[in-house]
Amino acid sequence: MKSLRFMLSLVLLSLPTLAFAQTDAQKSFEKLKTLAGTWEGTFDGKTMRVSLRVTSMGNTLMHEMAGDGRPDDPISMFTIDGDHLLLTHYCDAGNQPHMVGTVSPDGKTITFNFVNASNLVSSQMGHMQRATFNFIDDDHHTEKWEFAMSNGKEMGGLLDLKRTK
Amino acid sequence: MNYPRFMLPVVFMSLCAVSFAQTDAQKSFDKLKTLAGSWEGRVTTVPPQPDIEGKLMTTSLRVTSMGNAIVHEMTGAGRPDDPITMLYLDGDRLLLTHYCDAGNRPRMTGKTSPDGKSVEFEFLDVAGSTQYGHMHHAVFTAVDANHHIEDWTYMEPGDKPVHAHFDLQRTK
Repeated sequence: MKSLRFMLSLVLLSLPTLAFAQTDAQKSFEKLKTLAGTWEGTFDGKTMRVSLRVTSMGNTLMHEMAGDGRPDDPISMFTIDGDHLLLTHYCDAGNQPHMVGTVSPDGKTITFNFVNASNLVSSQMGHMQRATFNFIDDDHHTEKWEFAMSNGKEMGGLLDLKRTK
Repeated sequence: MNYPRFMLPVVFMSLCAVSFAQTDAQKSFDKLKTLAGSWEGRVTTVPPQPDIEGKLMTTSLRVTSMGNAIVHEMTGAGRPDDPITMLYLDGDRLLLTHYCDAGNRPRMTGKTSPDGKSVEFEFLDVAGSTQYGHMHHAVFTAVDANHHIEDWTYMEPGDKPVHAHFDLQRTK
């Protein structure tokens, strides 16, 4: 086959999603893609920046978060796996939780719940347990990230984000 | 506690890593971290792939997640490709997950070569459809601080390998 499939400029890959009815997971994934851009909000009085970027020729959405004067820089990757919308969080804690997403009946919220994690060890503080994305309008969304600590307690933070680009 | 631990600025975690002997996986991971930066170079392919043969490719490697992950990204001039590869530790293993343009996500396990110059990743498993093939093998070879080589092998349907060799010079 002459067409190069390495690095995969496979236009035909996108055709099936156009030709057939989308699954709920695909619909949710497409909705998340509308968040592509850069966002800014505050957490605990500090400015936080979030970027979402569609990569891998549309097959992945990459989420990155950073804050002023903070060392954090976790990466989250959103993908489709069969009928599931998945999130893998490359956590600053050193583990990589996998979560599966479901959309609310009104379509405005996608909630990702913990399934399992790689590199999860008892010496760590815990792992990310849940992430909730709430769509308000084209330039405004919120993200709630909830962390399960190894002592059984949970902590979390709500980011109220406005689009900057 | 006033200082928010959400998103985990867990400084002591990195101290632990320094305090104890490193595993081979950690050593390999740290070696890969020295490649952090921006790189540029030509690609050669076997069998020859006219679409990209000789094209200028740009690669970036970035340490993220407070040192717990490396993001690898590759793009080419005038090409739509933009695969992301995440490199990270899982216990005693060095893992790579390739978020492929083909829509699947192969994982590979990495080991440093006996001469210490290369980190070679062998296929472990893959999530998602392999209808159009999958990335199967990767080797990172450090030549010097400003020069490294990446060899990526893509397995087309029917287990036909396509090998791409990237000779990369640091631009930043």
